Amino acid sequence: MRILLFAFIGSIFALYVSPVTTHWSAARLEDATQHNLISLCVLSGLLCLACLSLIHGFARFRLQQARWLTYPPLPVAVVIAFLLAAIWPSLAGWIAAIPHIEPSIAIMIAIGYGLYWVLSASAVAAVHALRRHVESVDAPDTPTESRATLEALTDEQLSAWFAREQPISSPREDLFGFWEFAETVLQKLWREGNTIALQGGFGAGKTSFIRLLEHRAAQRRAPLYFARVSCWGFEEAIAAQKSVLSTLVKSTNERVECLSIRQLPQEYVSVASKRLEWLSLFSSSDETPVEQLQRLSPILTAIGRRVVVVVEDVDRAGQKFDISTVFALLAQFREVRNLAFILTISPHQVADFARLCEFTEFLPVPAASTVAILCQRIRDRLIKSFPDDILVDKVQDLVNAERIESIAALMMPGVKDWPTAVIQLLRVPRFLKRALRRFSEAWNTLHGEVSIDALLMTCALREAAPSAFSFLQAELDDVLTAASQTSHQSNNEHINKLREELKESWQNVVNKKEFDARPVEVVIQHLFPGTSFLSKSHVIPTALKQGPSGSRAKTYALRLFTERVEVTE
Amino acid sequence: MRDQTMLRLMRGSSQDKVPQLANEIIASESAAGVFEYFADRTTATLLLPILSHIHGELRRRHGVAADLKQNEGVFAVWRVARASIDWHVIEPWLIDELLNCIPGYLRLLNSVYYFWLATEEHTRQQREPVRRAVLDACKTRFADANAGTLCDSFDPSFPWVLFHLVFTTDFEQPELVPYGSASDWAWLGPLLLRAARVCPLTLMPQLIIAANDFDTRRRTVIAYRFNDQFLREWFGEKASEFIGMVRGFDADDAQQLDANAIGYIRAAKADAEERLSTST
Repeated sequence: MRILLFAFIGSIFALYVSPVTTHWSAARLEDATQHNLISLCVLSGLLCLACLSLIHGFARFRLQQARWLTYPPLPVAVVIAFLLAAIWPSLAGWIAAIPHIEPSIAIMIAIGYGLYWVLSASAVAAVHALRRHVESVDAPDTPTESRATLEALTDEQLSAWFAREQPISSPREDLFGFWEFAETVLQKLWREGNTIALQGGFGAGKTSFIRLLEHRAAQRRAPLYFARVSCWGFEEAIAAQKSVLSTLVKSTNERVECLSIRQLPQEYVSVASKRLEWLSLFSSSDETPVEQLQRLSPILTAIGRRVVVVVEDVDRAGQKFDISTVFALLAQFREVRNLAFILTISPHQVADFARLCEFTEFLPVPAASTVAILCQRIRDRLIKSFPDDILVDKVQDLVNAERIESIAALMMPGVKDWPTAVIQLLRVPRFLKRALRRFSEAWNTLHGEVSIDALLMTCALREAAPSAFSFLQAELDDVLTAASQTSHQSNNEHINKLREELKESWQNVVNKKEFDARPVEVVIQHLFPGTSFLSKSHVIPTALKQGPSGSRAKTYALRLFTERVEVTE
Repeated sequence: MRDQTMLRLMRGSSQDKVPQLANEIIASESAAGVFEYFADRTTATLLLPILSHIHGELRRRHGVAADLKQNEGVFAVWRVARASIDWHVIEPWLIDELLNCIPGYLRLLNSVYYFWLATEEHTRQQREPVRRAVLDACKTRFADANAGTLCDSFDPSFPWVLFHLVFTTDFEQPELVPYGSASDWAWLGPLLLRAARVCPLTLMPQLIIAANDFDTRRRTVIAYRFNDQFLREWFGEKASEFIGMVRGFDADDAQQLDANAIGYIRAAKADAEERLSTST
């Protein structure tokens, strides 16, 4: 109906306005071409083509969007408008009496434009198809994509994996079982009306998972498409609502001409916030927010797909951000057929997921054994890359240390070794990637000048518990002084006071709950033997020769902290 | 210094790395610190050769004025060697090192002896073979030497060389110092007296300091009184000749000496003046 309305209005313009504008333009062009007929034809033809290309390029009319009967695209309205303009004069004499465009010319324009539109859209579609074909030829032949295994990855591939900060999008990069988990989530989404809350902490791989989910859905030819929207940085929830809806409309428009819902974000926000904007003059203002959203349903039904709106980074919005407003919008999504959503959220976020979502899923955590193998492989590669280096400290077997952890726990309950603690800290994909990246880069400078295990511990602390690392950096002198005192000197009043002060400062850091204190304390005690006064963690540290203990403690501490060899104590 | 540079030198094919290691230690105190930090049982065999090389280098660079104190780095190696090498291994090496200083480098001899044997940890029995070797070598090598050799064996800027050679720094515990009495070294007196006429600026301050009585030496202020027993045993009938030489020695000529040494010389001159005026 809307297309017909636009066609009707367009036909009036075509009938009466176009002759005036045509005459005016023709006069200007004749002046410009000095009445040269050939120049006039060429110039006017080029101008028409340029204008049409510009408009079509801006409006992104695509052939794949065309649902001719259910949701005809806007160019159809233009064609109908010119055809109507050809008919009107024959229907009423008073219409014919006013100067108007000739019916034959109107029909020619309608045919010409229609041809132009079909041909240009076909050309664009052909180019896209060709590009996809070339990409598929260039891509390695992977008939059944499966997730990566650590054994199959070469050292170079592994380095490339942790060198990229960006989320992964291919199962070949998945080392943590997200690909299998994507199948579970996909099955739930496949059933209509499902809404999912996906819980995962900072850097747990939520975005990577969503990308893999999309990949899996495409591979399984699931009738789903995804609209990702991030709430990162929004100060006001209204803006976030608008962004969610805009993304939804935009991604729907990729598949179908969405003329009827293009104003949905503004209209929804206007109705939801009870404001009367000028746009609402042209819309049905008596619709409730839910009814507004339900306008999406017929379009989605027409294309035979379900939209999954993925709302990310709700926990990273501004301080004024009222998360409940976004949750209200998502709750209304449940009333819209063929519309599902996934809310990715931090476990620390306070929200009633049970009311909002039908399922709450927890992102898989990387297996400790996987993290241990990764760290060990990278460490071995780094050692091999400098074969002439003489390593003074014996490197610890990280994989075995992780394996025997349960046995060790029986023999020495409560005592943890540093490999287990480091692995525990790095069981967050982002921390793991960052720590390994830093570890590799720093070793290029520090190779042989510090203990490689001390460097791994420092990198893990720096990336997984930055506030703990900052504490050590700020209190280095005092920590070394307090740690270096032997038992017979420990009665010294000054040292005891210093230890008390350090313990208090450390407790302040721990109380912020920015990291898991237990493994961090274990790592600190191994890195700085003699710091057992900081916490109650029971650790049996082994002093590393090239670590921050002994007579050259400060030299090694500064090397580890500054990642430079030449340091001034 | 980078750890790897030092570790490669320390763990590399042993003996050929010794000169390079020794030079690094002499050149930089931080290198010596790194060496000391990484030294372990695998480096034990390198320690004494490194010290020998350092001693040789000190002799080459500083000549008669060579002293361990001129290079702090050496003490890093010395600390490790002292803690890790058995004395039975050290003793013959130490004797060789001390004998390498005779003639020509008696100040270095005293310095090496001081750091290895002049501590309370060592017994008279440990000192005995070393002291005997030094005394015998001095006797052998100085007996037929000309005055020039004797002159060139004492540092003219440090007048305590002779005193330390004879009495050592443990002079207040003579029971712990074998061959540490004036009589043990009395054979040296006539030789030095003769050589002192050739190089008075070098040897007169050495003899003056050595001939000071222990009672006056202990005083916290500069004081001097000739040790009569020393004069008798060392110079015999020529003791008065020596006292006359002291009186005639002009302290202003010995500008290379520090104020403390000059103070002792002036005090000795005063005592010599008094003794000679009394005798006449």
